Amino acid sequence: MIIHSQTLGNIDIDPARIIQFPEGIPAFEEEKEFILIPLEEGPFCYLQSVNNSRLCLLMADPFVFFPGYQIDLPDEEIDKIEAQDHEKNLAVYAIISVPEDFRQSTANLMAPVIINMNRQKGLQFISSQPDYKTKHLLFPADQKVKEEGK
Amino acid sequence: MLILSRRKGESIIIGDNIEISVVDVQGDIIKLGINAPRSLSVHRKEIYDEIQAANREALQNLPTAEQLKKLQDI
Repeated sequence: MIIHSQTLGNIDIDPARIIQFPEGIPAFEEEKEFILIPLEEGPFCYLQSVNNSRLCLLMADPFVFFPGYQIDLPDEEIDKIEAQDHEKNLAVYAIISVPEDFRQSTANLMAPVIINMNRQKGLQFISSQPDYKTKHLLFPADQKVKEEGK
Repeated sequence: MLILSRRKGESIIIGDNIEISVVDVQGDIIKLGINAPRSLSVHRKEIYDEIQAANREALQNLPTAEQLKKLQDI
C-alpha cells in the first residue's frame, strides 16, 4: 500500500503495520491512523499519518537523551491501548521539534507518544508530572559549550 | 453556551454517562468531580491547548535532511 508523505515522499507500507490512535493526537484529533518509520540508525523515527500527507512528526527514544525519564501510565490510558497484558511491549517516544539551529532541538517530555506494539494501538499521553514540559533541550547548554570550546 | 448555577454538592449530567459535580467552592477555586467513561479523556484546558500548540510547532519544525543528519551525528 502506497501512502504519500510531504516529508518522505511516496512510501510503501504494510497495512498490517498501521497503528490506530483512537483519539488522534492533540491538534490532529481526526487523524486516527499512523505508521512508524524508523530511521536507519540512532534513536529517531517518524510518525506519519496514513491519511494526511502533511502530518509527519519526528520522534525519538526519550531514554537515550533523558536517562532518568519516567512516566506513570494510569489504568485508563492502558485500557485505551489494550495494554493490560502487554506492558513489556510498550514503546515510548518523545516528539521532537527542530528549530533553525538544530542544537536547540527540544523533546516534548510532557506528552509522550505511547504505542502498544502488540496491538498496534497508540496514544499521546499527557503527563501531569510537574517536572516535564513540552520543551526539553536534547543537547543541554553545558554540552553545547563543550562543543563550541573545541 | 449553556450557563447554569449549581451549589456545592450539586451536579450536572451530560448525555447519560458524564456527571460533573461541584465538590467544593473556596473563593474563586472550584473543585469539580468528574464521572465519565474511562474511554473519554479529561484534561485541564490550558494543558490540552499547550500540547496542541507543541504538536503544531513540532510539525512546523521538522528537520531538513541536513539538520537530521547533524542530529544523528551528534
